[in-house]
Amino acid sequence: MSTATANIMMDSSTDARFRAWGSGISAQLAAFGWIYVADAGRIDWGTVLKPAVGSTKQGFEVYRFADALQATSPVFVRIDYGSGSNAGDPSIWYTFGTATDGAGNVVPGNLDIIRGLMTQDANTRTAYFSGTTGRGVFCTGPAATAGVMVFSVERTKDAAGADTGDGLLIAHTIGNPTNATQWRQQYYQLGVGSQGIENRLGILMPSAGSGVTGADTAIYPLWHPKGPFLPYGLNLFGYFTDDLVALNTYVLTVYLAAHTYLALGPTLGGCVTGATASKSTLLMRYE
Amino acid sequence: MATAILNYTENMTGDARFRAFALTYSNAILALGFTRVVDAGQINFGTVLRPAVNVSAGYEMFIFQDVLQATFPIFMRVDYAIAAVATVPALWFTFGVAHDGAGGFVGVASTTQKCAPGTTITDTHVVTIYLSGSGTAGRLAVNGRWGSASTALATNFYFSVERTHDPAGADTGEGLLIIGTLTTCAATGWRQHVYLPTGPGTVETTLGIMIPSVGTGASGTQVAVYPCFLTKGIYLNPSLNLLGYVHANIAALTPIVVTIYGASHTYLPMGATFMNLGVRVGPGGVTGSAPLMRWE
Repeated sequence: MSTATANIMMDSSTDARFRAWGSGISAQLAAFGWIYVADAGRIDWGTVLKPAVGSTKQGFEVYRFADALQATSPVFVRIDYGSGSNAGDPSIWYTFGTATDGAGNVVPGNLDIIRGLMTQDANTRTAYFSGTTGRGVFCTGPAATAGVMVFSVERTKDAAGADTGDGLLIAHTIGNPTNATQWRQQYYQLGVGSQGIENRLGILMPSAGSGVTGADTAIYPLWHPKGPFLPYGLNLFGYFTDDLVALNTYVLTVYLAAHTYLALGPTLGGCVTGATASKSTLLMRYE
Repeated sequence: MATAILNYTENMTGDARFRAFALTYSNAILALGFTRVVDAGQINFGTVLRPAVNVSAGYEMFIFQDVLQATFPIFMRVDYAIAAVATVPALWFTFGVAHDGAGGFVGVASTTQKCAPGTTITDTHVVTIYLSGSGTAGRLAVNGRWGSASTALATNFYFSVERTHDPAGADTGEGLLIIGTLTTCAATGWRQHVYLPTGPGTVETTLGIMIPSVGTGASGTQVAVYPCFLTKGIYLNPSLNLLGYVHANIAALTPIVVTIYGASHTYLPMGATFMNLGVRVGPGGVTGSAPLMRWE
Protein backbone atom coordinates (compact mmCIF):
# COMPACT_ATOMS: atom_id res chain seq x y z
CA MET A 1 0.00 0.00 0.00
CA SER A 2 1.15 3.49 -0.69
CA THR A 3 -1.96 5.46 0.21
CA ALA A 4 -5.11 4.74 2.11
CA THR A 5 -7.94 6.36 3.97
CA ALA A 6 -9.54 5.02 7.11
CA ASN A 7 -12.43 6.15 9.25
CA ILE A 8 -11.08 6.61 12.74
CA MET A 9 -12.44 8.14 15.94
CA MET A 10 -9.55 9.53 17.94
CA ASP A 11 -11.13 8.98 21.33
CA SER A 12 -10.26 6.72 24.26
CA SER A 13 -13.33 7.18 26.40
CA THR A 14 -14.17 3.47 26.20
CA ASP A 15 -12.13 0.31 25.78
CA ALA A 16 -13.68 -0.27 22.39
CA ARG A 17 -12.84 3.19 21.15
CA PHE A 18 -9.26 2.97 22.41
CA ARG A 19 -8.81 -0.38 20.68
CA ALA A 20 -10.40 0.94 17.51
CA TRP A 21 -8.16 3.96 16.97
CA GLY A 22 -5.01 2.15 18.08
CA SER A 23 -5.57 -0.92 15.98
CA GLY A 24 -6.76 1.23 13.11
CA ILE A 25 -3.50 3.11 12.94
CA SER A 26 -1.52 -0.06 13.55
CA ALA A 27 -3.17 -1.73 10.61
CA GLN A 28 -2.18 1.12 8.31
CA LEU A 29 1.45 1.01 9.45
CA ALA A 30 1.51 -2.67 8.61
CA ALA A 31 -0.10 -1.89 5.29
CA PHE A 32 2.77 0.47 4.50
CA GLY A 33 4.90 -2.64 4.37
CA TRP A 34 6.53 -2.15 7.74
CA ILE A 35 7.24 -5.54 9.27
CA TYR A 36 5.57 -6.42 12.53
CA VAL A 37 8.16 -7.71 14.98
CA ALA A 38 6.74 -10.20 17.43
CA ASP A 39 8.42 -8.96 20.57
CA ALA A 40 7.30 -10.42 23.86
CA GLY A 41 4.75 -8.37 25.74
CA ARG A 42 3.30 -6.62 22.74
CA ILE A 43 -0.19 -5.17 22.89
CA ASP A 44 -3.21 -7.42 22.43
CA TRP A 45 -5.87 -5.41 20.63
CA GLY A 46 -8.53 -7.86 21.72
CA THR A 47 -8.04 -7.35 25.41
CA VAL A 48 -6.20 -4.10 26.03
CA LEU A 49 -8.04 -1.63 28.25
CA LYS A 50 -8.38 2.09 27.79
CA PRO A 51 -6.05 4.25 29.86
CA ALA A 52 -7.38 4.96 33.31
CA VAL A 53 -5.48 8.23 33.69
CA GLY A 54 -3.56 10.68 31.56
CA SER A 55 -0.05 10.14 30.21
CA THR A 56 -0.25 6.36 30.48
CA LYS A 57 0.96 3.72 28.04
CA GLN A 58 -1.30 0.72 27.62
CA GLY A 59 0.85 -1.38 25.35
CA PHE A 60 3.32 -1.44 22.50
CA GLU A 61 4.17 -2.88 19.14
CA VAL A 62 7.49 -3.08 17.33
CA TYR A 63 7.84 -2.60 13.60
CA ARG A 64 10.83 -2.47 11.35
CA PHE A 65 11.41 -1.00 7.95
CA ALA A 66 11.69 -3.39 5.01
CA ASP A 67 13.34 -1.23 2.36
CA ALA A 68 16.63 -1.88 0.61
CA LEU A 69 18.56 0.10 3.22
CA GLN A 70 17.25 -2.04 6.06
CA ALA A 71 20.06 -4.55 5.51
CA THR A 72 22.78 -1.99 6.14
CA SER A 73 20.98 0.74 8.08
CA PRO A 74 18.23 -0.99 10.00
CA VAL A 75 15.33 0.93 11.51
CA PHE A 76 13.16 -0.42 14.29
CA VAL A 77 10.38 1.52 15.94
CA ARG A 78 8.55 0.77 19.14
CA ILE A 79 5.09 2.29 19.18
CA ASP A 80 3.30 2.72 22.48
CA TYR A 81 -0.39 3.49 22.54
CA GLY A 82 -1.82 5.40 25.46
CA SER A 83 -3.24 8.64 26.76
CA GLY A 84 -2.43 12.29 26.48
CA SER A 85 -3.04 14.90 29.11
CA ASN A 86 -6.37 13.29 29.98
CA ALA A 87 -7.30 9.63 30.03
CA GLY A 88 -9.51 9.98 26.97
CA ASP A 89 -6.92 11.82 24.86
CA PRO A 90 -5.07 9.61 22.37
CA SER A 91 -1.31 9.60 22.48
CA ILE A 92 1.34 7.64 20.62
CA TRP A 93 4.99 7.29 21.63
CA TYR A 94 7.56 6.41 18.95
CA THR A 95 10.93 5.02 19.96
CA PHE A 96 13.31 4.55 17.06
CA GLY A 97 16.46 2.48 17.07
CA THR A 98 18.52 0.07 15.05
CA ALA A 99 17.57 -3.19 16.81
CA THR A 100 15.25 -4.70 19.38
CA ASP A 101 16.03 -7.03 22.29
CA GLY A 102 12.94 -9.12 21.63
CA ALA A 103 11.12 -7.79 24.65
CA GLY A 104 10.04 -4.46 23.26
CA ASN A 105 13.19 -2.54 24.03
CA VAL A 106 14.51 -0.77 20.98
CA VAL A 107 18.18 0.13 21.07
CA PRO A 108 19.83 2.55 21.18
CA GLY A 109 16.40 4.13 21.45
CA ASN A 110 15.46 7.74 21.72
CA LEU A 111 13.98 7.68 25.20
CA ASP A 112 10.36 8.29 24.33
CA ILE A 113 10.99 11.80 23.15
CA ILE A 114 8.76 11.43 20.11
CA ARG A 115 5.21 11.58 21.34
CA GLY A 116 2.14 12.54 19.41
CA LEU A 117 -0.59 14.13 21.48
CA MET A 118 -4.06 15.43 20.79
CA THR A 119 -7.39 16.19 22.43
CA GLN A 120 -9.97 13.43 22.16
CA ASP A 121 -12.58 13.81 19.46
CA ALA A 122 -15.73 11.69 19.65
CA ASN A 123 -16.40 11.86 15.92
CA THR A 124 -15.41 9.47 13.23
CA ARG A 125 -13.17 11.27 10.78
CA THR A 126 -11.34 10.31 7.64
CA ALA A 127 -7.65 9.76 8.23
CA TYR A 128 -5.10 9.76 5.41
CA PHE A 129 -2.10 7.47 5.29
CA SER A 130 0.83 7.23 2.92
CA GLY A 131 3.87 5.06 3.26
CA THR A 132 6.04 2.31 1.95
CA THR A 133 8.57 -0.03 3.44
CA GLY A 134 10.89 2.83 4.37
CA ARG A 135 8.69 5.82 5.12
CA GLY A 136 5.32 6.78 6.54
CA VAL A 137 3.12 9.79 7.09
CA PHE A 138 -0.43 10.12 8.31
CA CYS A 139 -2.94 12.80 9.24
CA THR A 140 -6.15 12.08 11.07
CA GLY A 141 -9.17 14.33 10.62
CA PRO A 142 -7.86 17.03 8.25
CA ALA A 143 -11.36 17.82 7.03
CA ALA A 144 -12.48 18.83 10.50
CA THR A 145 -11.39 21.29 13.13
CA ALA A 146 -10.74 18.59 15.70
CA GLY A 147 -9.30 15.13 15.82
CA VAL A 148 -6.08 15.97 14.06
CA MET A 149 -2.84 14.10 14.66
CA VAL A 150 0.04 14.22 12.20
CA PHE A 151 3.10 12.01 12.19
CA SER A 152 5.83 11.71 9.59
CA VAL A 153 9.02 9.67 9.37
CA GLU A 154 11.31 9.12 6.44
CA ARG A 155 14.95 8.35 5.82
CA THR A 156 17.43 11.15 5.30
CA LYS A 157 18.09 12.15 1.70
CA ASP A 158 21.08 12.76 -0.48
CA ALA A 159 21.35 15.81 -2.71
CA ALA A 160 19.26 14.06 -5.34
CA GLY A 161 16.49 13.17 -2.94
CA ALA A 162 17.38 9.49 -2.67
CA ASP A 163 17.16 7.79 0.71
CA THR A 164 20.34 7.46 2.74
CA GLY A 165 21.18 5.32 5.74
CA ASP A 166 22.32 8.25 7.84
CA GLY A 167 19.16 8.74 9.85
CA LEU A 168 15.51 9.66 10.03
CA LEU A 169 13.61 12.89 9.53
CA ILE A 170 10.69 13.06 11.93
CA ALA A 171 7.91 15.62 12.38
CA HIS A 172 4.67 15.45 14.32
CA THR A 173 1.99 17.27 16.26
CA ILE A 174 1.77 17.42 20.02
CA GLY A 175 -1.56 19.21 20.12
CA ASN A 176 -3.45 21.85 18.18
CA PRO A 177 -2.06 21.72 14.64
CA THR A 178 -2.92 25.36 13.98
CA ASN A 179 -0.47 26.45 16.64
CA ALA A 180 3.08 26.50 15.31
CA THR A 181 4.44 25.74 18.77
CA GLN A 182 2.47 22.49 18.88
CA TRP A 183 4.73 20.87 16.32
CA ARG A 184 7.96 19.02 16.92
CA GLN A 185 10.67 17.81 14.59
CA GLN A 186 13.96 16.06 15.00
CA TYR A 187 16.71 14.39 13.10
CA TYR A 188 17.41 10.93 14.50
CA GLN A 189 20.89 9.72 13.61
CA LEU A 190 20.88 5.95 13.31
CA GLY A 191 23.06 4.31 15.90
CA VAL A 192 23.59 7.61 17.68
CA GLY A 193 20.23 8.99 18.69
CA SER A 194 18.18 12.12 18.46
CA GLN A 195 20.12 15.24 17.54
CA GLY A 196 17.71 17.50 19.39
CA ILE A 197 14.07 18.40 19.30
CA GLU A 198 12.94 21.53 17.51
CA ASN A 199 9.69 23.00 18.74
CA ARG A 200 8.68 24.41 15.37
CA LEU A 201 8.54 23.07 11.86
CA GLY A 202 11.70 23.93 9.95
CA ILE A 203 9.82 25.59 7.11
CA LEU A 204 10.59 29.11 5.95
CA MET A 205 7.55 30.88 4.50
CA PRO A 206 7.08 34.56 3.74
CA SER A 207 5.51 36.71 6.43
CA ALA A 208 3.70 38.74 3.79
CA GLY A 209 2.03 37.91 0.54
CA SER A 210 0.21 34.93 -0.84
CA GLY A 211 2.83 32.53 -2.11
CA VAL A 212 1.63 33.11 -5.65
CA THR A 213 3.13 35.10 -8.51
CA GLY A 214 1.29 34.90 -11.79
CA ALA A 215 0.91 31.26 -12.67
CA ASP A 216 3.51 30.15 -10.12
CA THR A 217 2.43 28.75 -6.75
CA ALA A 218 5.07 28.20 -4.12
CA ILE A 219 5.59 25.24 -1.84
CA TYR A 220 8.14 25.31 0.96
CA PRO A 221 10.40 22.44 2.03
CA LEU A 222 10.87 21.18 5.57
CA TRP A 223 14.44 21.27 6.80
CA HIS A 224 16.06 19.29 9.61
CA PRO A 225 19.50 20.29 10.92
CA LYS A 226 22.53 18.14 11.51
CA GLY A 227 24.58 21.19 12.32
CA PRO A 228 24.02 22.51 8.79
CA PHE A 229 20.65 21.68 7.32
CA LEU A 230 20.26 18.26 5.74
CA PRO A 231 18.69 17.87 2.31
CA TYR A 232 14.98 18.37 2.86
CA GLY A 233 12.54 15.55 3.27
CA LEU A 234 9.87 14.46 0.84
CA ASN A 235 7.02 13.73 3.25
CA LEU A 236 5.83 17.24 4.11
CA PHE A 237 5.89 20.66 2.45
CA GLY A 238 4.39 23.96 3.46
CA TYR A 239 1.99 26.00 1.36
CA PHE A 240 -0.54 28.80 1.78
CA THR A 241 -4.08 27.63 2.43
CA ASP A 242 -5.63 29.85 -0.24
CA ASP A 243 -3.41 28.52 -3.00
CA LEU A 244 -4.51 24.88 -3.20
CA VAL A 245 -7.82 23.08 -2.74
CA ALA A 246 -7.97 21.21 0.55
CA LEU A 247 -7.82 17.41 0.25
CA ASN A 248 -7.10 17.57 -3.44
CA THR A 249 -4.02 15.80 -4.69
CA TYR A 250 -1.31 17.54 -6.70
CA VAL A 251 1.66 16.30 -8.68
CA LEU A 252 4.72 18.34 -7.77
CA THR A 253 8.22 18.24 -9.12
CA VAL A 254 10.55 17.72 -6.19
CA TYR A 255 14.21 16.79 -6.55
CA LEU A 256 13.52 16.86 -10.31
CA ALA A 257 10.99 14.04 -10.03
CA ALA A 258 7.21 14.03 -9.97
CA HIS A 259 5.57 13.19 -6.66
CA THR A 260 1.96 13.26 -5.56
CA TYR A 261 0.85 15.26 -2.54
CA LEU A 262 -2.36 15.74 -0.60
CA ALA A 263 -3.19 19.31 0.42
CA LEU A 264 -4.21 19.14 4.08
CA GLY A 265 -5.95 22.49 4.01
CA PRO A 266 -6.90 25.13 6.58
CA THR A 267 -7.44 22.66 9.41
CA LEU A 268 -3.70 23.02 9.94
CA GLY A 269 -3.73 26.76 9.20
CA GLY A 270 -0.98 28.50 11.13
CA CYS A 271 1.30 25.50 11.55
CA VAL A 272 4.41 27.35 10.33
CA THR A 273 5.82 30.07 12.49
CA GLY A 274 6.31 33.48 10.93
CA ALA A 275 4.18 32.85 7.86
CA THR A 276 1.37 35.13 6.75
CA ALA A 277 -1.20 34.93 9.52
CA SER A 278 -2.93 31.55 9.81
CA LYS A 279 -2.37 30.84 6.14
CA SER A 280 0.36 28.22 6.42
CA THR A 281 -0.51 24.57 6.11
CA LEU A 282 1.01 21.35 4.80
CA LEU A 283 1.14 19.08 1.82
CA MET A 284 1.51 15.43 2.75
CA ARG A 285 3.20 13.01 0.40
CA TYR A 286 0.44 10.84 -1.00
CA GLU A 287 1.72 8.13 -3.25
CA MET B 1 36.83 50.35 -4.67
CA ALA B 2 34.41 47.77 -3.38
CA THR B 3 34.78 48.13 0.36
CA ALA B 4 35.29 51.06 2.66
CA ILE B 5 35.49 51.79 6.35
CA LEU B 6 34.20 55.16 7.53
CA ASN B 7 34.48 57.00 10.78
CA TYR B 8 32.53 59.92 12.10
CA THR B 9 31.34 61.19 15.43
CA GLU B 10 28.01 59.61 15.94
CA ASN B 11 26.27 62.03 18.25
CA MET B 12 24.48 64.66 16.15
CA THR B 13 24.74 67.50 18.63
CA GLY B 14 24.69 70.21 16.01
CA ASP B 15 24.92 71.23 12.39
CA ALA B 16 28.65 70.60 12.04
CA ARG B 17 28.45 66.96 13.04
CA PHE B 18 25.39 66.41 10.88
CA ARG B 19 27.17 67.86 7.86
CA ALA B 20 30.18 65.66 8.54
CA PHE B 21 27.99 62.57 8.80
CA ALA B 22 26.15 63.30 5.56
CA LEU B 23 29.22 64.29 3.58
CA THR B 24 31.11 61.22 4.75
CA TYR B 25 28.42 58.94 3.34
CA SER B 26 28.02 60.94 0.17
CA ASN B 27 31.72 60.76 -0.60
CA ALA B 28 31.79 57.06 0.15
CA ILE B 29 28.88 56.29 -2.15
CA LEU B 30 30.52 58.26 -4.93
CA ALA B 31 33.80 56.48 -4.32
CA LEU B 32 32.02 53.15 -4.65
CA GLY B 33 31.15 54.07 -8.20
CA PHE B 34 27.62 55.35 -7.98
CA THR B 35 27.01 58.45 -10.05
CA ARG B 36 25.14 61.47 -8.74
CA VAL B 37 22.63 62.84 -11.21
CA VAL B 38 21.57 66.43 -11.60
CA ASP B 39 18.41 66.98 -9.63
CA ALA B 40 17.08 70.29 -8.42
CA GLY B 41 17.18 70.88 -4.71
CA GLN B 42 19.86 68.41 -3.73
CA ILE B 43 21.57 68.79 -0.40
CA ASN B 44 24.24 71.44 0.11
CA PHE B 45 26.75 70.07 2.55
CA GLY B 46 28.12 73.51 3.28
CA THR B 47 24.89 74.97 4.50
CA VAL B 48 22.59 72.15 5.50
CA LEU B 49 21.20 72.31 9.03
CA ARG B 50 20.53 69.44 11.34
CA PRO B 51 16.82 68.72 10.91
CA ALA B 52 14.18 67.88 13.47
CA VAL B 53 13.49 64.31 14.43
CA ASN B 54 12.14 62.07 11.68
CA VAL B 55 12.88 64.73 9.09
CA SER B 56 15.17 64.63 6.08
CA ALA B 57 17.54 67.57 5.75
CA GLY B 58 18.22 66.91 2.11
CA TYR B 59 18.81 64.28 -0.49
CA GLU B 60 21.01 63.15 -3.33
CA MET B 61 19.99 61.13 -6.36
CA PHE B 62 22.38 58.47 -7.64
CA ILE B 63 22.23 55.95 -10.46
CA PHE B 64 23.70 52.50 -10.78
CA GLN B 65 26.50 52.10 -13.33
CA ASP B 66 26.27 48.37 -14.03
CA VAL B 67 25.63 46.84 -17.43
CA LEU B 68 21.96 46.37 -16.63
CA GLN B 69 21.50 50.11 -16.13
CA ALA B 70 21.05 50.56 -19.86
CA THR B 71 18.06 48.27 -20.03
CA PHE B 72 16.84 48.21 -16.43
CA PRO B 73 17.81 51.58 -14.95
CA ILE B 74 17.84 52.13 -11.20
CA PHE B 75 17.78 55.51 -9.50
CA MET B 76 18.68 55.66 -5.80
CA ARG B 77 17.62 58.58 -3.66
CA VAL B 78 19.55 58.91 -0.40
CA ASP B 79 18.10 61.20 2.26
CA TYR B 80 20.23 62.42 5.14
CA ALA B 81 17.99 62.66 8.15
CA ILE B 82 17.59 62.54 11.89
CA ALA B 83 15.94 59.51 13.48
CA ALA B 84 13.37 59.52 16.27
CA VAL B 85 16.03 60.78 18.67
CA ALA B 86 17.45 64.25 17.92
CA THR B 87 21.08 63.16 18.16
CA VAL B 88 20.75 59.98 16.09
CA PRO B 89 21.48 60.21 12.36
CA ALA B 90 19.47 58.31 9.78
CA LEU B 91 19.78 57.36 6.14
CA TRP B 92 16.72 56.91 3.98
CA PHE B 93 16.89 54.94 0.73
CA THR B 94 14.27 55.07 -2.02
CA PHE B 95 14.52 53.52 -5.48
CA GLY B 96 12.85 53.98 -8.82
CA VAL B 97 13.39 53.42 -12.52
CA ALA B 98 13.34 57.10 -13.54
CA HIS B 99 13.50 60.49 -11.84
CA ASP B 100 11.67 63.73 -12.38
CA GLY B 101 14.71 65.96 -11.90
CA ALA B 102 13.47 67.39 -8.64
CA GLY B 103 13.97 64.58 -6.19
CA GLY B 104 10.96 62.57 -7.20
CA PHE B 105 10.49 59.45 -9.29
CA VAL B 106 8.65 58.80 -12.50
CA GLY B 107 6.71 55.59 -12.26
CA VAL B 108 6.44 53.39 -9.22
CA ALA B 109 8.99 54.05 -6.48
CA SER B 110 10.05 51.62 -3.83
CA THR B 111 9.01 51.80 -0.23
CA THR B 112 11.51 54.06 1.53
CA GLN B 113 13.78 52.08 3.80
CA LYS B 114 14.70 54.30 6.73
CA CYS B 115 17.82 53.06 8.48
CA ALA B 116 19.07 54.28 11.80
CA PRO B 117 20.25 53.03 15.13
CA GLY B 118 17.89 53.59 18.02
CA THR B 119 20.35 55.42 20.19
CA THR B 120 23.91 56.68 20.39
CA ILE B 121 26.56 55.92 22.95
CA THR B 122 28.49 58.97 24.03
CA ASP B 123 28.92 62.53 22.90
CA THR B 124 32.33 61.97 21.36
CA HIS B 125 32.19 58.35 20.28
CA VAL B 126 33.53 57.81 16.78
CA VAL B 127 31.66 55.08 14.96
CA THR B 128 33.07 52.59 12.49
CA ILE B 129 30.96 52.02 9.42
CA TYR B 130 31.57 49.29 6.86
CA LEU B 131 30.48 49.84 3.28
CA SER B 132 30.63 47.30 0.50
CA GLY B 133 29.41 47.48 -3.03
CA SER B 134 29.91 49.13 -6.31
CA GLY B 135 27.93 51.30 -8.63
CA THR B 136 29.26 49.26 -11.50
CA ALA B 137 28.21 46.06 -9.78
CA GLY B 138 24.76 47.36 -8.93
CA ARG B 139 24.81 46.71 -5.22
CA LEU B 140 25.44 48.45 -1.94
CA ALA B 141 25.65 47.29 1.66
CA VAL B 142 26.11 49.55 4.65
CA ASN B 143 26.78 48.23 8.09
CA GLY B 144 26.83 50.67 10.94
CA ARG B 145 28.67 48.89 13.67
CA TRP B 146 29.65 50.87 16.68
CA GLY B 147 32.60 48.60 17.36
CA SER B 148 33.73 47.31 20.70
CA ALA B 149 32.30 50.22 22.60
CA SER B 150 28.91 48.60 22.71
CA THR B 151 27.22 45.30 22.15
CA ALA B 152 23.83 46.93 22.26
CA LEU B 153 21.74 46.03 19.27
CA ALA B 154 20.06 49.41 19.34
CA THR B 155 23.30 51.21 18.51
CA ASN B 156 23.84 49.40 15.20
CA PHE B 157 22.15 49.49 11.85
CA TYR B 158 22.29 47.78 8.48
CA PHE B 159 21.17 48.51 4.93
CA SER B 160 21.68 46.73 1.65
CA VAL B 161 20.34 46.79 -1.86
CA GLU B 162 21.16 44.53 -4.77
CA ARG B 163 19.63 43.49 -8.02
CA THR B 164 17.60 40.31 -8.17
CA HIS B 165 19.48 37.17 -9.19
CA ASP B 166 18.99 34.29 -11.55
CA PRO B 167 19.47 30.68 -10.33
CA ALA B 168 23.20 31.00 -10.96
CA GLY B 169 23.45 34.14 -8.85
CA ALA B 170 23.89 36.53 -11.78
CA ASP B 171 22.09 39.86 -11.58
CA THR B 172 18.80 40.26 -13.37
CA GLY B 173 16.79 43.33 -14.25
CA GLU B 174 13.64 42.11 -12.58
CA GLY B 175 13.98 44.24 -9.46
CA LEU B 176 15.82 44.93 -6.23
CA LEU B 177 16.28 43.08 -2.95
CA ILE B 178 16.21 45.64 -0.13
CA ILE B 179 17.09 44.86 3.48
CA GLY B 180 17.50 47.23 6.40
CA THR B 181 17.11 47.79 10.11
CA LEU B 182 14.94 50.31 11.87
CA THR B 183 16.00 51.49 15.35
CA THR B 184 17.54 48.17 16.36
CA CYS B 185 19.33 45.16 14.96
CA ALA B 186 17.36 42.86 17.23
CA ALA B 187 14.83 40.59 15.58
CA THR B 188 12.08 43.20 15.64
CA GLY B 189 14.11 45.81 13.79
CA TRP B 190 14.76 44.08 10.49
CA ARG B 191 12.81 44.91 7.36
CA GLN B 192 13.03 43.41 3.90
CA HIS B 193 11.13 43.84 0.71
CA VAL B 194 11.35 43.39 -3.03
CA TYR B 195 11.09 46.35 -5.35
CA LEU B 196 9.73 45.61 -8.79
CA PRO B 197 9.13 48.37 -11.33
CA THR B 198 5.54 47.18 -11.43
CA GLY B 199 5.10 47.92 -7.76
CA PRO B 200 6.77 47.88 -4.37
CA GLY B 201 6.54 44.59 -2.54
CA THR B 202 5.08 44.18 0.90
CA VAL B 203 7.58 44.88 3.64
CA GLU B 204 8.36 41.85 5.81
CA THR B 205 9.21 42.60 9.41
CA THR B 206 11.49 39.62 9.91
CA LEU B 207 14.41 38.45 7.86
CA GLY B 208 13.77 35.55 5.50
CA ILE B 209 16.52 33.52 7.08
CA MET B 210 15.92 30.22 8.85
CA ILE B 211 18.50 28.94 11.32
CA PRO B 212 18.06 25.70 13.29
CA SER B 213 16.86 25.91 16.85
CA VAL B 214 19.07 23.00 17.90
CA GLY B 215 22.71 22.27 17.32
CA THR B 216 25.58 24.58 16.57
CA GLY B 217 25.36 25.25 12.87
CA ALA B 218 28.45 23.12 12.42
CA SER B 219 29.01 19.44 11.73
CA GLY B 220 32.52 18.08 11.45
CA THR B 221 34.45 20.47 9.26
CA GLN B 222 31.30 21.99 7.81
CA VAL B 223 30.09 25.35 9.05
CA ALA B 224 26.71 26.47 7.82
CA VAL B 225 25.68 29.84 6.49
CA TYR B 226 22.04 30.55 5.86
CA PRO B 227 20.66 32.43 2.85
CA CYS B 228 18.15 35.24 3.04
CA PHE B 229 15.06 34.85 0.88
CA LEU B 230 12.79 37.68 -0.16
CA THR B 231 9.37 37.16 -1.65
CA LYS B 232 7.44 38.56 -4.57
CA GLY B 233 4.71 36.01 -3.85
CA ILE B 234 7.02 33.11 -4.54
CA TYR B 235 10.51 33.38 -3.17
CA LEU B 236 13.16 34.93 -5.36
CA ASN B 237 16.67 33.57 -5.54
CA PRO B 238 18.41 34.54 -2.30
CA SER B 239 20.42 37.62 -1.48
CA LEU B 240 24.14 37.76 -2.01
CA ASN B 241 24.56 40.82 0.20
CA LEU B 242 23.45 39.18 3.43
CA LEU B 243 23.75 35.70 4.92
CA GLY B 244 23.06 34.39 8.39
CA TYR B 245 25.40 32.35 10.57
CA VAL B 246 25.81 31.24 14.16
CA HIS B 247 28.17 33.86 15.53
CA ALA B 248 30.07 31.44 17.73
CA ASN B 249 31.30 29.61 14.62
CA ILE B 250 33.14 32.46 12.89
CA ALA B 251 35.36 35.19 14.31
CA ALA B 252 33.80 38.64 14.11
CA LEU B 253 35.15 41.17 11.62
CA THR B 254 37.58 38.72 10.02
CA PRO B 255 36.62 38.36 6.36
CA ILE B 256 35.91 34.83 5.19
CA VAL B 257 35.33 33.27 1.80
CA VAL B 258 31.99 31.57 1.32
CA THR B 259 30.90 29.46 -1.62
CA ILE B 260 27.46 30.59 -2.67
CA TYR B 261 25.72 30.04 -5.99
CA GLY B 262 28.73 27.85 -6.79
CA ALA B 263 31.21 30.72 -6.60
CA SER B 264 33.53 32.15 -3.96
CA HIS B 265 32.56 35.42 -2.33
CA THR B 266 34.06 37.29 0.58
CA TYR B 267 31.96 38.17 3.59
CA LEU B 268 32.47 40.13 6.78
CA PRO B 269 31.05 38.42 9.90
CA MET B 270 29.35 41.11 11.94
CA GLY B 271 29.59 39.19 15.18
CA ALA B 272 27.79 39.34 18.46
CA THR B 273 26.98 43.03 18.27
CA PHE B 274 24.56 42.06 15.53
CA MET B 275 23.38 38.95 17.31
CA ASN B 276 19.76 37.85 17.22
CA LEU B 277 18.57 38.21 13.70
CA GLY B 278 14.90 37.98 13.05
CA VAL B 279 15.14 34.40 11.98
CA ARG B 280 12.59 31.62 12.06
CA VAL B 281 12.19 28.37 13.96
CA GLY B 282 12.65 28.14 17.69
CA PRO B 283 14.21 30.36 20.29
CA GLY B 284 17.51 28.57 19.92
CA GLY B 285 17.66 29.75 16.35
CA VAL B 286 17.36 33.37 17.32
CA THR B 287 19.94 33.36 20.07
CA GLY B 288 23.37 33.34 18.56
CA SER B 289 22.47 34.20 15.00
CA ALA B 290 24.27 37.03 13.24
CA PRO B 291 24.72 38.41 9.71
CA LEU B 292 27.48 38.04 7.21
CA MET B 293 27.80 41.10 5.03
CA ARG B 294 29.19 40.79 1.52
CA TRP B 295 32.64 42.30 1.64
CA GLU B 296 34.21 42.52 -1.78
